[in-house]
Amino acid sequence: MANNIEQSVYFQRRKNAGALIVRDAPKFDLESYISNYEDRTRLDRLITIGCTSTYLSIDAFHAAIAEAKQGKDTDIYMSIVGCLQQIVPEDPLSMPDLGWVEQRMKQIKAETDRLEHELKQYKNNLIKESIRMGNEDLGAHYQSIGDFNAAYKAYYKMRDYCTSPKHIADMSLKLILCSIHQRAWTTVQTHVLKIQSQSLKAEDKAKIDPILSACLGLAYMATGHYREAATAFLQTKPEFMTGGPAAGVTWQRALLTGNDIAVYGGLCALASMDRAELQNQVLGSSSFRNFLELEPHIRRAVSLFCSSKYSACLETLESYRTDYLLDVYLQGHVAPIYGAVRRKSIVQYFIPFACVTLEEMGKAFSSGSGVPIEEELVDMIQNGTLNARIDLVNRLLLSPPSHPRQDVHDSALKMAASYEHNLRLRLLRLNMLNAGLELRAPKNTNAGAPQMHGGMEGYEEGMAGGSRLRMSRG
Amino acid sequence: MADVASALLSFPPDAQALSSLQHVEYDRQIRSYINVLQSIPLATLAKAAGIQNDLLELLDPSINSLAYIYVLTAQIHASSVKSTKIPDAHRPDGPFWLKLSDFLVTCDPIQMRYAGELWRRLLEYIERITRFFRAPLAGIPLICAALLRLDPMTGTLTSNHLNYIRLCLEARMYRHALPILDNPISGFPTAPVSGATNAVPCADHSVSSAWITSRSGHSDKIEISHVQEYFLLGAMIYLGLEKYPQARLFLEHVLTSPAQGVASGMMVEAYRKWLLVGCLIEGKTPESPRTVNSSALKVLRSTSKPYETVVEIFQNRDMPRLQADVDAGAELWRNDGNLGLIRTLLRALPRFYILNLSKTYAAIPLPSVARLLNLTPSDAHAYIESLIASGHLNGRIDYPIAPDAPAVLRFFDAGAPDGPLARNESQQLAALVAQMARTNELAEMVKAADLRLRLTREYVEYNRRRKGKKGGVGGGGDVGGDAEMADPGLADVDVGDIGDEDLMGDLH
Repeated sequence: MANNIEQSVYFQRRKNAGALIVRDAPKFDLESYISNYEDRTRLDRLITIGCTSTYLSIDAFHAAIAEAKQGKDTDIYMSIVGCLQQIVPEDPLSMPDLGWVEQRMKQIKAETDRLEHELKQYKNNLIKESIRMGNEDLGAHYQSIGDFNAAYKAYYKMRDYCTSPKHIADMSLKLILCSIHQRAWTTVQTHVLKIQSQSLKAEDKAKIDPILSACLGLAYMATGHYREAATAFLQTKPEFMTGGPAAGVTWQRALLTGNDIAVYGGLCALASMDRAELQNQVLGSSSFRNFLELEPHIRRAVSLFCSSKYSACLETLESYRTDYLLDVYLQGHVAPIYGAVRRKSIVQYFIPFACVTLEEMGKAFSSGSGVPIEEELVDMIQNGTLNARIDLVNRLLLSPPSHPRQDVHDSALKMAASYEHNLRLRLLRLNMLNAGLELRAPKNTNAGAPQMHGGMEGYEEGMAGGSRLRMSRG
Repeated sequence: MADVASALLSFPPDAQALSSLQHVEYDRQIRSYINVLQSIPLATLAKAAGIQNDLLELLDPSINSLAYIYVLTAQIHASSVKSTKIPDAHRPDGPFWLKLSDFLVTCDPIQMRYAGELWRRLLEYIERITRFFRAPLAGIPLICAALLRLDPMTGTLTSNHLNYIRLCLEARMYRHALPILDNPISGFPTAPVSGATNAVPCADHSVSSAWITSRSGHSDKIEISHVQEYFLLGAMIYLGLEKYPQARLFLEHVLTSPAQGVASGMMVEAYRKWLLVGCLIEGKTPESPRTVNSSALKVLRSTSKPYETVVEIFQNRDMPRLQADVDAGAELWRNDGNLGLIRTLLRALPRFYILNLSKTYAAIPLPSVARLLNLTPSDAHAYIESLIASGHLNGRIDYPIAPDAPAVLRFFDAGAPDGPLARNESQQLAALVAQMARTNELAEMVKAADLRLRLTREYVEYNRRRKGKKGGVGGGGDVGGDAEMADPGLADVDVGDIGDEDLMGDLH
């Protein structure tokens, strides 16, 4: 079955385009996994799995079609059906339900008209609160049909009619969710900052802060700033998992679950922090512990890293690679994060040693890709990640010997020499200026060249006439 | 005759009197003595010598130096009146030449400060003889010794410097130019500043430009083109001796010479050589010194495109392209006189490959190096051995005991105590001390330059205005007071830093 799917038109095309295809079965159960999510992110995640996993593709698309049919977004329904058709053309669900589409489009049209008409009325009445709510309704409507651009605009129009910091915070939260769906990560960051600068009531703040740090972490991770992402995720309070809806959205279901926070935060921290930081800020953090409890293997990986069992740590991560490759936000970052963890492990592993045999290194960090460890090490040395040198003859990795006294002397000599060089240049120039020696345009421009060769005249000619030698009198 | 002799011998006073003589008094005496000398007709001096050859025997060149030089010049003059050819008696190793050379190495340099023009003409005459008889081996060391006799630092650029360097270059006696070239130039013959302290030439001056002035006659008029030529020719000599860092400094002197947005032909030539030399030293396009006039630099760049291309290819370590480019431009390099340098560059490319390897590897079998360099193992072996021998590579070739195992190239890092380039504690100390001495020497030059700048009209004007602004009473003439205010200038900040912090701190 899986083989058939891999041979299907859709996956062949993906393969040719060099896109990611996951062939192994993940550890999770699709149904229980997806039941944690609702709304748009549920659809997004199903589509991601359907598009990449040959193992779960059909199940995921079936679930996605059922989900899409409950919603109002006809475009995404058509594209899902299109994908499914390329994978299993004979599947009954792969025939688009055009009647439903037509009916939905009519409904949507009527709804849009109604909402816009209402908004116009509110505007005529000049009641701020009504206008704000009218815009909000319109935004929500656009969001539900998948037109995030229009939704963003509608939400943004609420700005002028907000009367309290709470209103602004709610609006910004909606804009954040909208931007996340659009994958506009920098906008997410600006809106997070905007809410943070508002003076909210303590209770609102306690409710919104965890959401903000989760969103910020996601935005940093998506843009590849793993260290900042880790910091943001680690600051996320456990209230995130239990908090009620904010701005009409249940964030722990509509965007990220507590499990996601644990995985994202743990991986980003592993990729970017050193052992002491991991120990203090990840394992030792009382708030992040709540998240880690949901994903014990991440906790295990971090503690393995901290106790210098690097190969076991890498193995643990490796066993979950498939799962993470099927995560909608993590997908593109698995390779760089794993690579960073691996490189860090190698560096950390090597710190206590003066020399290690390459064989030993290869054993400790066996790579699945079949690239010999020494090539990896050469790359790391050349781009400055690993401060070591390789002895190809005895097949050793050597730590650089340090000669602090000699080094200080050398650097002093070097600096003094460069000072001397510059000083001499400047001093001579200054003296020349002082002596009125300056090259001026245009009379002297060509004076140099003939002079140059003047000195090379033939030997025998000598100086012209001895009569030049005269006594000076007075 | 006897009158003349006694007049000639009237100066200097005997050693005892001389030691108690103040500078100012000495100055007065020597000037009146010069007047006496000048009043003796040339013919008398020359004839007296010509007939009996007595005067030169009578005078001690190391004591009666002034009189001696007057007599010498008179004799040269007399011979040149007779014929335009140089008399055979003046040929190197002839009797007259011996007197000349004896005089130049033993004369009293203080007295020579007062006979600048005669001194210069004498040197020019020796240069003429050297060229005429094609005897550079006799002439060049003599001129060098004479230059050093007059001013052991040779820090003031005179026309004699330039003539000497030209001569060395023509005769291909590069090494003989080093004693002069290695001394930094700290000043130029300028009009003497009135009112400066210690103005008499015979006083103890830290820099020779205090008494080599535009009026002292030690030098012909020095123009900017002479300065540039001196440094360009000097750089060529350094290049000939493969002393690249020094060559680079000299070329940068040419490039940074003050220019009002224009460049001379010599600057173009210097720029091209400088690109190549910088590349040889650093392996990449060198960073231009900050004091280069930017519009002049633009002109230089636009005229040297082929050179910039070569350096860029070098930087990418692209051997085949470099070879192709060098071959394509062979005519150009030859016409510019840079073919040798370009060839050196071509040979230097693999060196940078190997230096890069030393950052990654501690030891690597020779066959692997050869493969990376695209050379046969034996070629690679020879090349690496030459690099190690020339001190470019801190490494060693090891031969394993097993008969069929390949030889191994082992790298050492800069501070390693067991590498071939390792320096022991005392060598290191010597290097630091030498650097410190150079720095102190520079500090002296900075002080002298500072003093000279304080005496300029502009600075005095500036100070007067500044004082006026403050509403102070002080007039403009109080140079000494102003100088103190200007103390946190070059001398104390820049050089003080090098000397005190960078070197002294490390010696503890």
